[in-house]
Amino acid sequence: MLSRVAESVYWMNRQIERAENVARAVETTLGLVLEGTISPGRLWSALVCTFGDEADFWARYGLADQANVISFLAIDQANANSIASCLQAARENARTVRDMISTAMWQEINKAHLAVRAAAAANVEIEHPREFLEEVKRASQLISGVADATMSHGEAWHFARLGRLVERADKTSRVLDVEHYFQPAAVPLARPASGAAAFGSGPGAEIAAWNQPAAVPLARPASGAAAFGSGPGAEIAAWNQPAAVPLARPASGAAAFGSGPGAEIAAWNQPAAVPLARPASGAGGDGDGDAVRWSAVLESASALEMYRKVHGAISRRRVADFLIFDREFPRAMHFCLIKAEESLLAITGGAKGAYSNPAEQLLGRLRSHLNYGAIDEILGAEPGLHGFIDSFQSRLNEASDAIYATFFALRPVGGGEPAPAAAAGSARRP
Amino acid sequence: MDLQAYKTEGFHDELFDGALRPRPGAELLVGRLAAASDGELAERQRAADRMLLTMGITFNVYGHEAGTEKIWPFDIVPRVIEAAEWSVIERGLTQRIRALNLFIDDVYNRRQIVADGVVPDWLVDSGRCFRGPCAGLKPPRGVWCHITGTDLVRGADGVIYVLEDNLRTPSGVSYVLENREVMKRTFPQLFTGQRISPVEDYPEKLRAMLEYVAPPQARDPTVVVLTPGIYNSAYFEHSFLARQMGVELVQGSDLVVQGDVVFMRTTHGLERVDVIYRRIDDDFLDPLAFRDDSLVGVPGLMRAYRAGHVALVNAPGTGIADDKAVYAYVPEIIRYYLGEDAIIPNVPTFVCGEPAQCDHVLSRLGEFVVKPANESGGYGIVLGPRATQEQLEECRGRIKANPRNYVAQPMLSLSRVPTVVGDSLEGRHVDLRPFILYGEDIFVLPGGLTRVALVKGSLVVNSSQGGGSKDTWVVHEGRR
Repeated sequence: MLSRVAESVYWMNRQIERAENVARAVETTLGLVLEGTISPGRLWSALVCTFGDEADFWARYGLADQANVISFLAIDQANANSIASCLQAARENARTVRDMISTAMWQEINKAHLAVRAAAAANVEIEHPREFLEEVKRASQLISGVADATMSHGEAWHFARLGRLVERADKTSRVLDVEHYFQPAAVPLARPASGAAAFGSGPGAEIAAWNQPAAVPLARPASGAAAFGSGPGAEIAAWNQPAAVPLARPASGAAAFGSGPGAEIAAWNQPAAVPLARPASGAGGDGDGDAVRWSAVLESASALEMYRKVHGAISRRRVADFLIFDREFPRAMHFCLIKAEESLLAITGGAKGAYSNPAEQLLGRLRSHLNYGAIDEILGAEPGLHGFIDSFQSRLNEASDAIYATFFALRPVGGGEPAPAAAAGSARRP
Repeated sequence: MDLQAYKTEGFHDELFDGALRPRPGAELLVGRLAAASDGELAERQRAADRMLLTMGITFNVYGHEAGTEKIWPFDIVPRVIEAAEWSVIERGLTQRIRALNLFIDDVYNRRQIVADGVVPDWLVDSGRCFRGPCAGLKPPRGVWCHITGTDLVRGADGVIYVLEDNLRTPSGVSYVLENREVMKRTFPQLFTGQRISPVEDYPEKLRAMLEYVAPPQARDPTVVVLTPGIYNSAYFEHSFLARQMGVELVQGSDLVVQGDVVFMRTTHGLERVDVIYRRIDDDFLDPLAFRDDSLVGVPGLMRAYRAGHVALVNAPGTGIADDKAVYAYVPEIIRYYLGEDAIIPNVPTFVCGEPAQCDHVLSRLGEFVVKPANESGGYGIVLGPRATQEQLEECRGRIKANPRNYVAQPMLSLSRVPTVVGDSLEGRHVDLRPFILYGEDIFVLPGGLTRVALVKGSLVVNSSQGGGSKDTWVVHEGRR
């Protein structure tokens, strides 16, 4: 199939899956707000960070409250990852490949886009978002079901599934990572694109600090400004970016606190900020509040019921185990990668366990990493769950880049292309 | 509903005669409309509108924000053509297309018709759509104009005329098929007992034609539809036809020419292309042969075409035959090549490029409809009887500056078809665009696209200017 078309099919499905995942996460947050153990401000702020667009959010919204965050994530056209933007982009992609997808599938995508557009115009969905979110989830599932039932399971379908699963693996990892953002320590947290070196697969010390509830004070120490100023220049620059400041700036107690990696690391360097004792790996035990939070995480991935069947009681370790390593649950990261690799190999005709292009290599390697991984190794060692997830996400991004390079990038005319077919029998005209 | 309240207002109505009796072929339809309960028409019209929105049947309007899609308004009362009348139209169109194809082939090769003085040389050579680079070409199977959409109108005298020939990249056929589908779903009762010619096999015929005109050496030819992209006004149709035929819809950037052979870039490398149903104008087709600033074309395409390695549908250069000044000569062209009188007459047309005719037009400008010779979509037309003095003077200035580029026709009183307004029916003016395929033989799709001017009193049926469309039925005698 055409490279351009394959790319549109791939992205169309990523965008629809993304819209669904945003809807799930917003729903879960609404539930947690009602449950009441974590302050709403922290919850909404965490939600923005989960999807990694906090800089954009803070640049345009003053307060991480329910109305603002839902507006930003659901209907804000200026947010490229909002539900409305995703479905709009998916529909544009669907139009460009209208000839490749079934009419039934097109109509569902078109209907979803129209519904969201109407909701965005009416604006009431911000106040009563549940039905709207339910509608988005249902639309995404309908589209995927209709695709399965009305499209030939050939190359286009495999590109569609590949897109969906790569996106889903990423989003499940983000949902799982949300514990990180719930923690008081992580309040101003951000995972900025620049200066990310300190995070991800980076040195363990910072990551560990990051994961400590007590590592970062809620309020800036009295000596704050001066002490912070002693950090390296790059960190100061981060500190100076108001856009990166998460939780409600003027309203909450944490308001005065800065953000960006620099701020946290600087905070970590403050004597006052160092915890006296470090809890066992990961944050906190499996107390009551935790059970609520972790079941909310499961709920975000529509995983609670399936989890119960496998594990019964809720604990951080088992939830992480389930969402990372389960081979049968369709939103588990491992499942996503197994099936994504299947589709990739169906496209290339390659064989499992070997590779003939960078996409197969990187996706296969990441999948096999999960094949032989174990939850206790992740939780019991640096850099911990957050570090693991961060590294997973960057490796998944690399695999996605490789998919682009392998299939979608328009190859320059020249090397590696077939010689012109024989023009036998065609009389050349003067 | 009470059809006695309907008024033909002195116009030729396609469903009713002057005494409000249904015309031949329309009896069953009129009976069913009369039986509709209060509110039913409005309700079914709403259902059809909803369906169009859901189906995403849209067109883009140029000059608006990129990607602005509009639902093309559809009216649920069909236009009826009796089979006997249709067979005359069918023969007339077949005759016309055969003659025009011979004409195009002639002007790019021997130019016999010019040498014989039937068509003046200045008319051909100054045609904006005349393509010098096409001289000497012999397209596969000798067919130039594979797909034509000819605009027909019926005047107050009840006679069907050819208004325009569209031989470049005529659009609208997808709406013919979708309109029929929407009708069947929203108003199935209307079909009961009727014998209506089907339109659903068009994609099949189109594909067969495209494969037929493939270069002879291509076995099992690969056919593609070439579109400028999603912002083109007819993108919906491009994707529709590709999907219905089961062929790839490609953009210029998907194609590459190597060694005078056209390939498309796929996930598995390059794949040879044999036939291109291109929906890009000649001008933009190949930056190396035509406009060098084209971003949507394929460099080297014309070389591959001249080498006989790929078929282009329609062939480049066919635009010379839909020049509106050349149109005036079509009855002569038919006589010249076929030795027959034109079955469907032309609208009387004055060619401003001929000084005597130009003087006549300028002296009575307010009575004529003046058209630029090479525009489409209804752009640039001045309706003399409805124009202000200022508009007329501006028009006069433009004709004098470039007489070759203008023709003038008398203002026609287009026929009307009952159209839903609220919950009742009012007459609205229509035209008709049948579609003709030229492959192994000539096929005329029964009916075609009926375009309707939805604004009361308006004569402008173009989708870009407030027009809508209707399902068009070729109805055969006798109940099913």
